[in-house]
Amino acid sequence: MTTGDANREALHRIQTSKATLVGLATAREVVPGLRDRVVLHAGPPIGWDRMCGPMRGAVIGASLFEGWARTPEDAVRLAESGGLAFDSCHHHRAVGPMAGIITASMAVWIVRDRASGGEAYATINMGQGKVLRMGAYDASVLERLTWMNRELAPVVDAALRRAGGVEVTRMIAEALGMGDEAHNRCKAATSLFVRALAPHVAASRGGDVERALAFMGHADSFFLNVAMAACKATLDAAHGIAGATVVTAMARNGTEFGIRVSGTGDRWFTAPAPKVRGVYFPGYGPEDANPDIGDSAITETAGLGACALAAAPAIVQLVGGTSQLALDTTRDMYEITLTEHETYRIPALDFRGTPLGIDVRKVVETGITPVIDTGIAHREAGVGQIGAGLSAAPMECFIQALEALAAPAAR
Amino acid sequence: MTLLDVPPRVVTIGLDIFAEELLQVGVSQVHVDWRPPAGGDPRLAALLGRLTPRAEIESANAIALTRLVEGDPVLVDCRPAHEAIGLPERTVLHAGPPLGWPRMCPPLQAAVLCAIRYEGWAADDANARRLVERGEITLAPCHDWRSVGPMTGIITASMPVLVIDNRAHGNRAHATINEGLGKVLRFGANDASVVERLRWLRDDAGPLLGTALRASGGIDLRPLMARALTMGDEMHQRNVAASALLGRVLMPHLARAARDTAALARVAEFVGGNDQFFLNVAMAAGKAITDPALGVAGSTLVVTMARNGTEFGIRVAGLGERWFTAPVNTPRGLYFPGYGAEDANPDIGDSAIVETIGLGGVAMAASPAVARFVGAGGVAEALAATAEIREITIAEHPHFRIPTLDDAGAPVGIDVRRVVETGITPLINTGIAGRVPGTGQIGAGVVRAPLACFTQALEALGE
Repeated sequence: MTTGDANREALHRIQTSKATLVGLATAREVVPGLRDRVVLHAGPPIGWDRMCGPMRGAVIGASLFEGWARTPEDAVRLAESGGLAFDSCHHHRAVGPMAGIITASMAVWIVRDRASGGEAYATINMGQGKVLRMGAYDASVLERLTWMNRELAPVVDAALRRAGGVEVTRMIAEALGMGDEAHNRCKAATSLFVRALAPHVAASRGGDVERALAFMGHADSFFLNVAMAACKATLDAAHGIAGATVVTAMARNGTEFGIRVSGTGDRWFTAPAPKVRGVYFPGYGPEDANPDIGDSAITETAGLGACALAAAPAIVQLVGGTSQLALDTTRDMYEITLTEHETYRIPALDFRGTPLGIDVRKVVETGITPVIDTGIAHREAGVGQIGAGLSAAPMECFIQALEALAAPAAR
Repeated sequence: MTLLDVPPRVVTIGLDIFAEELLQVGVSQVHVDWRPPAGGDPRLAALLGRLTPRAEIESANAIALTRLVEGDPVLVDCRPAHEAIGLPERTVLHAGPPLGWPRMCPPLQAAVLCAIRYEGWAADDANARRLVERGEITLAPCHDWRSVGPMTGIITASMPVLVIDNRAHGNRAHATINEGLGKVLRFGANDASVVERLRWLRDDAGPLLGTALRASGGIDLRPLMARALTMGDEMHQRNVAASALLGRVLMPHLARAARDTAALARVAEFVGGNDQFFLNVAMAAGKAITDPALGVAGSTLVVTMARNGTEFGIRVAGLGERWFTAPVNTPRGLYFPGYGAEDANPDIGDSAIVETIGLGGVAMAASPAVARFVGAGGVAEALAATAEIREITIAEHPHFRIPTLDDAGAPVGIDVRRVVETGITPLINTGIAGRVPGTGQIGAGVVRAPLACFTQALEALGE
């Protein structure tokens, strides 16, 4: 197969993907290889010794939640002594925002690509403030985790099954017409999602319907994890096509930025995680910021996030730019992508499709690297989000990938 | 003497025929799009001269504008119209300026008769018609009853109405619950399914919404509407974001208020399944905001625009309750498959209230998807539509901002003087009703307010 054919096949699988949210399940029941004392994290693989503060905090929180440790100190000792096995979410058909921690007892969304049959998983978004994904692990976080996984998940799972699933690809397309880019802004999608599920949650005849509805509607980021799992299911279908130069994952662990390419299998190409350029909440500044973190750049890989920034000018204002910056960012991304998304369209560009299919060759040729539209985490565990902005994927990842694609073994 | 050594640089003013001629012979020029004020009508031009600028008018307009933009609408309740506004039996409220039965368009007549049947004042349309013709039914505009209604705008005593509290002024306004799409009373549909839905709204949905809203302590609408405007809604033809945002806030309150899950599920499905659910809320908010501006002596700002399917009427802040009417235009737009312009009813409904508060057609730039849907073109046309309205408005809305215009405020404060001077009339986004009763909606489009309403108002201001 020529590179052109390989890329066409990869793009065809992305364009025809129909990501459907089918339900929720406990991670150990559905996520491959998620045994006891396995901790999945965001980004390329990383050991405890090199993990950043927020990710360590989230590991501590997960260990307390699972009952593997009674105190944070115990949890640290457990991690340091090699008592936990760490691995990338991406190696287990899963994705996680920020620290991205997933362990066996956590409930995960199940998103199925009805075209390929492949599934992907992500945890339930905890909302804003003190949250595990930012490395918080106090009693309120553990209480919320327990409630979400034991009380909320069964109610929402029953509602999803009663609804016959939710078409995520279509819902994202609709939200793109409502100012979302499905990464840093999921306000419309969250509202549409709650509205679609509410009648079915109401009819569930069990559980705390009121708290469930209030929780789902409380934070605009509730839909983010669903969108991420949808992107993962879609892109996994396009992964592993010999010769294809299309990027199928971009992810950060807070220390490194890594990409995977369809034609180079499960290999990661990594470079130090970049700083995020952005605007800080009052009282915080660049010196407080953790380097870029989270699997959420899977959205950019699928033609959303910063690729679709022209659809979400309100975000740019949040991070200190003009609507022109939003248009320019999306236009830049057309330079490094192979095609336009047939379903995700941008009203402000007269409904042009979003830039889709980041091509390693084009990135290296133009010197333009993908822009990621992202939240900024505090570098210490548990403080939470301190700002939002844009980061640029490091060129080094793409140069390494190009070299690997050119190497005889890859051909 | 360099004048003759270089090509001429030409500026043309007014008639574009000059510019076109020059273009044909290859002379580049700059054309200034200028027209004589008031279309060259010397009487109106003189009137404009007297009314422009006048310090007392400008300061009255500043007061009226503050009321228009600083209104603070809160959705607080839902209760039957007889409780909320004291609407008596055998009274039918309708959209637009006052209109006698014989001059009502067929969809409006059909809706009036259907409402009479729904209330049980007559068993069938023939008897209902006799009641109306004998003068036993009082017909009145919604606007006279602190209310507004989309399309036919029918309100009768037992219908539940949403109650909006304007916390900036302490006044209230009302609108019925949006019935959804398809066969609905507001488009003049009148069969058994329409009446069955109205009864369910009265007996189940309305009371549950009322209990939930009272327990919620009220839902602040201004921030919600401002947010929806940044999400592609202009809150006339597109309300999907506002409906979803409201649904998200409302659901936990409905869950707490519901007696049983089946009732809750049906209401949640009804509210969640209707992208135009918020339209009636936006309209009642518009009414609550604009009412305090009515009666600001000396102000030339438009505070009401409404259509009854026969006439278009406006009311002006400085001219009180008086309507200025002219025959209504028929919208231009896109039709559902199987329908065309010949099937369209002239423009109808109180929904143009949203255009008076900086939403709808005047905020087209916020909503390229609507520009497409209503057949007004793409992004460039949407931006141009909003830019044009700036010529006839006196301010940018401080709260309703448009992201594609770098957060510039929507145009607000339509000034009668500027409309007459420029000949530009407000642009309204609207649904198109079939002219045959019972058909329902057949399309969506844009329509202009007729200039004659504004020239009459200008004359009254000059008196």
